[in-house]
Amino acid sequence: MSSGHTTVEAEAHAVVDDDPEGAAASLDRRRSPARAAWRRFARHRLALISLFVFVGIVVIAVFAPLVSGASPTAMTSSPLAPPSSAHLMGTDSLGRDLWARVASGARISLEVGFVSQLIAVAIGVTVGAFAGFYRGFVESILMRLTDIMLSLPSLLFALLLLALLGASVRVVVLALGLSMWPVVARIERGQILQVMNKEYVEAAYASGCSNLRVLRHHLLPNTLGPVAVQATFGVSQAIFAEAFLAFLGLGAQPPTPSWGRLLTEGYEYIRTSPHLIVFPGIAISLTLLAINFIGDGLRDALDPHQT
Amino acid sequence: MGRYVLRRLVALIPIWIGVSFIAFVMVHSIPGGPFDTGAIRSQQGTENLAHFYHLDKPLLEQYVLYIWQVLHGDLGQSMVNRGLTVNAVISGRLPTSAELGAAALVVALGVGIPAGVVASARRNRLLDHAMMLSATVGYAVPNFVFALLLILVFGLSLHWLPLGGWGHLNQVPLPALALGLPWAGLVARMTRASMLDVVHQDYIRTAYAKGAGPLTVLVRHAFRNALIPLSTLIAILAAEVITGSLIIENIFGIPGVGHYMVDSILGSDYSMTLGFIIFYATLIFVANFLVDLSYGWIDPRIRHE
Amino acid sequence: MSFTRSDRFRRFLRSAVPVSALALAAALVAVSSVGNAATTKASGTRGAAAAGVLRIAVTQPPNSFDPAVLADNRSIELAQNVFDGLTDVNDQMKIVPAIASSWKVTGGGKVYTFHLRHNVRFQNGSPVTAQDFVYSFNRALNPKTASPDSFFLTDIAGADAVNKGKAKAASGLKAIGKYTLRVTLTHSAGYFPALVSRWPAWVVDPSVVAKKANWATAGNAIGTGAFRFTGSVGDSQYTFTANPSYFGKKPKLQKVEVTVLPSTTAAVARYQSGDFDAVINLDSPSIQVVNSNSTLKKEFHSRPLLRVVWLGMGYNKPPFNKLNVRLAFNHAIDRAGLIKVSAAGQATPASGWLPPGLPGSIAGTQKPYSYDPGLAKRLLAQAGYPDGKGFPATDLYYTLGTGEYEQAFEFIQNQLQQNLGVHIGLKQMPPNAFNALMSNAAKRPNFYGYSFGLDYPDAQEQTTYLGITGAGYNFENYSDKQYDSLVNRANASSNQAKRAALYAASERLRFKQAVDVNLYYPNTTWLVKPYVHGFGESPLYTKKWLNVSVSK
Repeated sequence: MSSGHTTVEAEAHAVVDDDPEGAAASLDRRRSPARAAWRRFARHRLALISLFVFVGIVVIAVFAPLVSGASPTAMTSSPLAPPSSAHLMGTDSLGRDLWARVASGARISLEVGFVSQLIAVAIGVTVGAFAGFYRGFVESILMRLTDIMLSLPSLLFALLLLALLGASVRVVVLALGLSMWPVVARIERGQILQVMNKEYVEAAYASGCSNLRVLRHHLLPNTLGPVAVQATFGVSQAIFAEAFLAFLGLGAQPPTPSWGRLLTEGYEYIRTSPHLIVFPGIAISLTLLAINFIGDGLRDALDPHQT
Repeated sequence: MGRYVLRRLVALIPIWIGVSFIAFVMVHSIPGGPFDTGAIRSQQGTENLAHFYHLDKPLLEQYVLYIWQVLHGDLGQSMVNRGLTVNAVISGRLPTSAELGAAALVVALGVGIPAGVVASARRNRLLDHAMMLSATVGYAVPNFVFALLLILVFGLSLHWLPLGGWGHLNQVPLPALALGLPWAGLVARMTRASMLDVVHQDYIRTAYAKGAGPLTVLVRHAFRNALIPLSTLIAILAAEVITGSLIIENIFGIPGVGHYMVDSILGSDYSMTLGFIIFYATLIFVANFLVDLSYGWIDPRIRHE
Repeated sequence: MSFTRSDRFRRFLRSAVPVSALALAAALVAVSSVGNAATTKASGTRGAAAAGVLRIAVTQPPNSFDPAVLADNRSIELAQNVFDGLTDVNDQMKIVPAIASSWKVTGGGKVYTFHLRHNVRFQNGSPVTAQDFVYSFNRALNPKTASPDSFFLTDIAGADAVNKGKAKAASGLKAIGKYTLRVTLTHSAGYFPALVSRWPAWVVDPSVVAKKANWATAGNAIGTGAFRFTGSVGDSQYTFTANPSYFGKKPKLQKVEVTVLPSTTAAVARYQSGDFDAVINLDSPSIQVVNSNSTLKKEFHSRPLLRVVWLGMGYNKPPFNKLNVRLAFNHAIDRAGLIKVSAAGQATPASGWLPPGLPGSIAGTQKPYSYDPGLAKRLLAQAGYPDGKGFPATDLYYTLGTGEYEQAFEFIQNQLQQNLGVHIGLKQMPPNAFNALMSNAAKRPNFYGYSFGLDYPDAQEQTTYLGITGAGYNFENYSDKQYDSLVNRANASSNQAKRAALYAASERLRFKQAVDVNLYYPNTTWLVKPYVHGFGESPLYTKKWLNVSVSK
C-alpha cells in the first residue's frame, strides 16, 4: 500500500489520473486541511451514508426507552412470540419485547466500543510516542513490552482477565482496551519516527521549544491520523469482541441485553424461533458495517492516495 | 544471514519468558481453584489434591518447575481430568481445528484473491465497487452471525447440509464458509490495493512497452509481486484461526481445540489453560519468526539494520 | 529501473518465497489431513445402527477411569459398567449385594463383615479376593493418589491416619481368608453399605495398578464389570466391549460407543439422522425441538432426579433472619411458571428440601408454599419492609450447574420486583469462582442459588454435609438444636424405617421454618430409539448397560 507517497506526489497523481476534483481539492488543502479532509470523506458516498446511519443508531441508543416504548426487562405472558403489531420484533423466551432489548443493547455495544478504544488510544499513544521520541533504551523497553502484549493471544488475555475480575461490561471494556493498545502503540511509534524528520520540527527546536512542547504541539497532532483510523476500526472490533465473549457467557450479565447476549439467548431457540437471532444479528451487522465504511472513508480522507 | 537469524531468535526469548510468566500468574490468580467444583470434599482430600499438583508450593517455585517441564515437551496434566495431558488433547483435537482452518483459508484465498484481482483490473467501475462492498460486508459482519445465518438457511430451511459434527465431507462447507468468508473480504481488499500499487510501477509499464498483453502482465508481473503483503496476511490469518474457530467450533459442534480452551479457563484448570496459552504463543512466535526471516531474506536492508 | 539479471532474480525470489511457503503449508496440511482421515472419520459419523451395538451421545467427557480418582457424574456413569464394589444401588434406590453376597452388622453398628462371592474375576482373569479390597480402599485413602472423594471411606477406623499420610494401611480393614472382609468403623453408621457402593470403594487389580501411574487407559483399565473399556479417541470417543466372563447376568450388548458432543442440539439433530441410538440430558432448546416433532415426542422420556434446586438465605443475619421475610419470598415466586419458562416443564415444584424418592423426604406429602403475591406482600410488610422499602440492597449469586437454568434466575428477579417491590441484582459466576466464594465464610453472600444432587440414596449425605450446625456446606449458617439432634440420631441408627421417620421429622421442622426457598426438583431427560430396550435413567445416573439390548 502506497502510504509512502508524499503530498506532492499525491497531487501530481491526482492530476495525472484525470481527477480534476481531486486536483482542485488538493490545491484547496493548502488553505484548510480539515475542510479538505472532510471533502474527501464526503466524496465517499458510502462513508457518508454510513455516518448518517451511525448517528441514527447513536440516537436510538441514547433514547432507547423512549424509542422502543417498552421495557427491556418486563416479562409479558406471551413468550417466544413472532413479530407482530404489538411486538415489532417479537418476544424472547421470557416474554420480553425484543425491540426494546435490541435498542437497549445498542447503548451497551456503543459504550463498549468507544470506551475501550479510549483506553487503547490513551495507553497506546503514550507508549508509542515516548518510544518513538526518546528512542534508545526507553524505546527498546517499551517496544519489548508491546511485543509481549502482542504475543499474548488477545482473546485468551481477555478471557483470563474476565475470569480474574468477574464477567461484566466494565471488565470487558477494560480487557478490550488492554488488549488493543499495543497495535495503537506500534502505529504511533511508526508515525512519530516518520514525522520527526520534517522541517517544521527542526524549525520548532530552532525557535527554542522544549522536548515536551515539540512532542505535544507538533508531533502528536500530526501523527494522530492513522491512530484515529485504527481507533475507528477498533470500535468495530471491540463491539464484535463483546458479542463474541457474550456468546461464551462472559459478556454482559443478565438481564443486561447486550447484542452478544441476545444472540446467545436466541441461538438456543434457533430451530423454533429464528427471529430471536435475526434481529440482533441485523442490528450488530448494520452497526459494524457502518463503522467500517466510516473508517474506510476516514482513512482515505486523512491519508490521500489512490484507491 | 545466519547472524540475523540468531539475533532475531535471541530477541524472542525474553518475550517468550515474559508471556509465559504473565500467563502463569494470571491463570493462578483466577478465583476458584481447579478443585472448587462444589462437590462435597473433606479438608484432607483437598490438601492431598493440592499437594499432588504442587499447588502448595510458592508461586515462583511452581513457575520454575512448570517451565522446566515445558522445556522437556510436557505441557502438563489436566487438574480436572486426571490422566488427560495437554499434549493428548492438543494432538487429538488440533488436527480437526487445523483442517477447519485450512478449509476456511481455501475459501478465503479462493474467493478473495480472484475477487481482488478482478476488482483491481476494473478499477472504479461497477464491478469494483460491488466487489469491495461485498468484501467489507463480509469483513464487518461477525463470523458467528454468518454461521447462524448459514445454519438457518442451508441447514434448517433448505436441509441441504448437516448442522454439525466433523468427519464427513458434507460437514465441511458450512463452518468453512462461516470462518472463511469474512477473511475473504479482507484478502480481496488487500489483494486489490496491492495490485493497484504494483500496477503503477515502472516495470509494468516497461512490460507493456515491450509488447506483453494485459493478461500476461497481470499474471506474470503484477500478481507475483502483489503476493508479498499477502504472505504476511496469511501468517496473521493462521493465528486468527484459533480465535475465530472458537465460536464456530462451538456452534457446529466440531471437536476442536477452541471449545476445550474456554472450558478449561472457566473450570480454572490451571495446567490445561496454561498449556494452551503457551502452545499458541509459541505458534505465533514461530509464525512471526518465519515472517521476519523471510523479510530479512528478501530485503537486505532489514538484515543490516 | 534497469532490468539487470540480479533484479530479475530478486523479483523471482520475492514471489517464489511466499508462493513456496504457501505450497509447503498446504502440503503439510494435506498430509496431516490424510494422516488423520482415519481418526476423524471415526470421530465423525458412526456406522448405521447394528444389533448388539449401542451408540450414545453425552455432553461431557469422563475425567478418568480410575475409580479412586473419578470425580463427576459422566465418569461414574461410564465407569460403573467397568468396575464393581461390595454393594450396589439398584434402580429402586435400594442397596443390594454386588461382589459381596451378604454382610452382617455387629458391635453396635460398628463392625461390618462382608462375605464375598467366590466366582468373581477381574477382566484379565485374576480372581478377586478380600485382600484386593483392602488394597483398593487403602489406595483410595493414600494421599499420593490424591482422591477427591476419599472421605467416603474415612468412617473406617484408622482411615484418617492413612489419608493424612501417617499410616500405610487402615487398622479397621481386615481380610479374613480369601473371601471375608471385616471392616471396623469409628462410630455406628447405618449408611455404610451405601458408602461402599461408591466408586472409591470399587475393587481394582493390584498388579495392573502397580505397573504404571496412568493405568486406567483404554485396554488397560481392568475392573470386574460387565463391559471392558477397550478404545478411546482423544476425549471425544469411548468404546466398550462386553465381558463374557462377568460374574452376574450376562450382558446382552456386544459393544457400546459413547460420543462426546458439547451441544445436545447437535446431538438431537444427529439422533434424528440415525447417528445415535440415545441422547441423554437434553437442554431446554433441545426439549423445545422435541416438543415440536411428533416422532421425537414419542421417543422422549424424563424422570425426577435425586436433586433439588433452591435459593439459600443467610439465616443468622438481616434481612433473612426474620421468618416473615423468608415466608414472603417463598410465597412470592410462582414455581410452576418458573418451571414452564426455564426448564421447558421438566421439573417438579419443590416443597421439602430432600428430593422425592429418598427415604425421609416429605416431597410426596407436603405441598409447596402457594404462589400468593398478596400474602407475600403482607408478610413482608409485617417484617418491616412495606412494599420493599428499606430492604437492604441484595444480590443473588449463582452459577449454572446441573439442573440450574439461566432464565430461572431472571424470572425470579422479575417476580421479586413485581410482587414484593424488592430489587435484587443478579450475579452470575463461573462454577469454580462461585464455589470458592461460597466456601469463604467471610465473603459468602447471604442470597444465592444452589443445587445439590445426592451421590448415594441416603439422606445422611445431604443433611450431614449441608444441613446441621457447622456443616462444611451449610452456607445458610442454619443452626437449630432440634434439627441437629434428629439428624444425628437418624445417622447413627441401623433401623432403616426409624431413620426415615427421623429424617422426615427434621424435614418438617425445616419446612416450617422456611429455611430456604426450595424451587424445584429437576428431571433428567433422554431420547432413545424404539429398537433399544432397557435403556434409561435412574434418579442417580444413567442405568447400567447390563440390561440394555438393541434389536435391529
